[in-house]
Amino acid sequence: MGLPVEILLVEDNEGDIILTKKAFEKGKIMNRLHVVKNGLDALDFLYKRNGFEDAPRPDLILLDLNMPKMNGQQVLEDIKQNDDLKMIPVIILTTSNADEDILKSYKLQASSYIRKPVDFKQFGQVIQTLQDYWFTIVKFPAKE
Amino acid sequence: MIRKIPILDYFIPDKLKIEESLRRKARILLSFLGVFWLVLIVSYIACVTLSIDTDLPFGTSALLLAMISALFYFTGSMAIGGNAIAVLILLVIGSLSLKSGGLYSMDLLFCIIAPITAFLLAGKRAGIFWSLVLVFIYIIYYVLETQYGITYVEGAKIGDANYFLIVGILTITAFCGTVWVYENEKTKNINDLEKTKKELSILNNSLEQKIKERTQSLEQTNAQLMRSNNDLEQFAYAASHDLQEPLRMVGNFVQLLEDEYKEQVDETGKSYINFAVDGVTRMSSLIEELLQYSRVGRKGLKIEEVDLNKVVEEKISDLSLLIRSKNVDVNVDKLPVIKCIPNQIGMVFYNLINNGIKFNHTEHPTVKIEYKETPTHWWFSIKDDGIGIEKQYQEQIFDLFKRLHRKEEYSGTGIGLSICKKVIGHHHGEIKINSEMGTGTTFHFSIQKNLEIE
Repeated sequence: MGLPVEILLVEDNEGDIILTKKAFEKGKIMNRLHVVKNGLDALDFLYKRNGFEDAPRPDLILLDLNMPKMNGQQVLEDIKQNDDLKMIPVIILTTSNADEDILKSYKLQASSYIRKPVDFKQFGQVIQTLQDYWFTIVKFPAKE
Repeated sequence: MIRKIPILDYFIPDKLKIEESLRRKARILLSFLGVFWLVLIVSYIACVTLSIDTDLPFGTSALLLAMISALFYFTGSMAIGGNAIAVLILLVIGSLSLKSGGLYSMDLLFCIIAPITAFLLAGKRAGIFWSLVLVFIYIIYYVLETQYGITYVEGAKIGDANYFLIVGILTITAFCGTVWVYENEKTKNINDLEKTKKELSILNNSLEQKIKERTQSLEQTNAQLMRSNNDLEQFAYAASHDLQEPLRMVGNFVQLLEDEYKEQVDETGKSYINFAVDGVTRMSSLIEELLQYSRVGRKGLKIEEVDLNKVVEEKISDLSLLIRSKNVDVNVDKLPVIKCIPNQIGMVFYNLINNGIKFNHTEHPTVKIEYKETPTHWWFSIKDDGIGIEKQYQEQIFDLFKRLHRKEEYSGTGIGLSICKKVIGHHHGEIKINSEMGTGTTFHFSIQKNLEIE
């Protein structure tokens, strides 16, 4: 575990950005959280263009669905059409656990979804579980 | 009796078959014609076989009868048929009277059948006309007898002629008068009937019009209601969805505050933070349950065939923490496979089991789930041995936000049972409560059996 885990957070809500950062700070795994605030920037980050030339390839993408300009759904569709990018696990952040929202996430071929919680402690636990799961149990396809 | 001869119906012209009264008249007319034909044929055969020498006009009669029959059959007119028969009777019987004594002949009196037939078959005017014709014939005979001495009976006297004329005219007047009164009364009745019928049909039409208008306005109201109901559900959904967002911010950051500024915040400050977090948590579950409530009945939810054992098992496992901590014994019957919206029926079981456990202080609470079936519905019961509900509140508990206890005593939003009621309503069933203070509560609810799988 020499290299830090690269995580891309696509989120337009400042509050959620802080909360996610805090939750990852408390995590045991060394990670680097990159934040972009809309769909267009997310794609630029992934394709390393328009000022994101130095961006690393993320190991995990956390994607909010409701965003201005280009929403999460469009970003996800784009990612899933790219042979290289579609290997990256994408986790959808939803506001509610309404069936409609969950179904929407899975229809978009998301790897998983997380409900943005009301309780911060609970959110911390969720992020912890997520880290455990994605970075210690699941084996990713080897990087080129 | 005439009605019983089915062969008559075969000859009734189509035009007269439509109405029963016309059909009856046609039958009478046809039976007249039939009798004439029968008499004609039988007497002809009798004359020929018995070699009786007679000068009866068989040929002419047959020809006339055939003409009348054809005329009636092809025109289908009761007026023509009736008048023609009157003519025939007058001709046949009248001609007999020429030989059998003119004014003094009984045959002349028999001619009265002609106007009566006309009355019955062709109507009042024809009847009166033929009565007058008969009277006219009487007068001609009388004039011939008295003025010109052309008499058909030897040695008749003037007095006899007067007497026969008066008797004849009186008889005609009496018979035809009676029939005329009868017919008049009948037409009056028929007219009255027609009038009533017309009035009725006018009333009927206006009633139908009214019903139509009412139905239309009802349909409109219904459509409006549906629309506003949909709008409301849409609104509730959107509102509870969007309300979660700012609430999350408040909750999370208050907690973050507590977490990161532990040293600076004293016990009072921490208790304030706890109040805030508690409020946010409760509001969040309120919104969550409102969202659930608004989703009941939303379109696109599918009715599926499910094994209820699995549904209930899942809900019990969701509640396992509570079940273990309160040492609850949950007994579940073997449940059937039914058609329902699984998530929502699951919600009903969850809420009712949860209530059974929550409102229970016994050492070892029990919750029992049973079912039975009627021809149309599945009936489920969830029985607990908890605190029970007072009679006066048993209706209200299904109302939205209705709580019987302070939140410090029992947690909850007051939405759970409203959700149950709404879900059961959507499954064409009903939900009932049976409870006694201190003994426990049993909820009964039903689900219609043949819900259609969409």
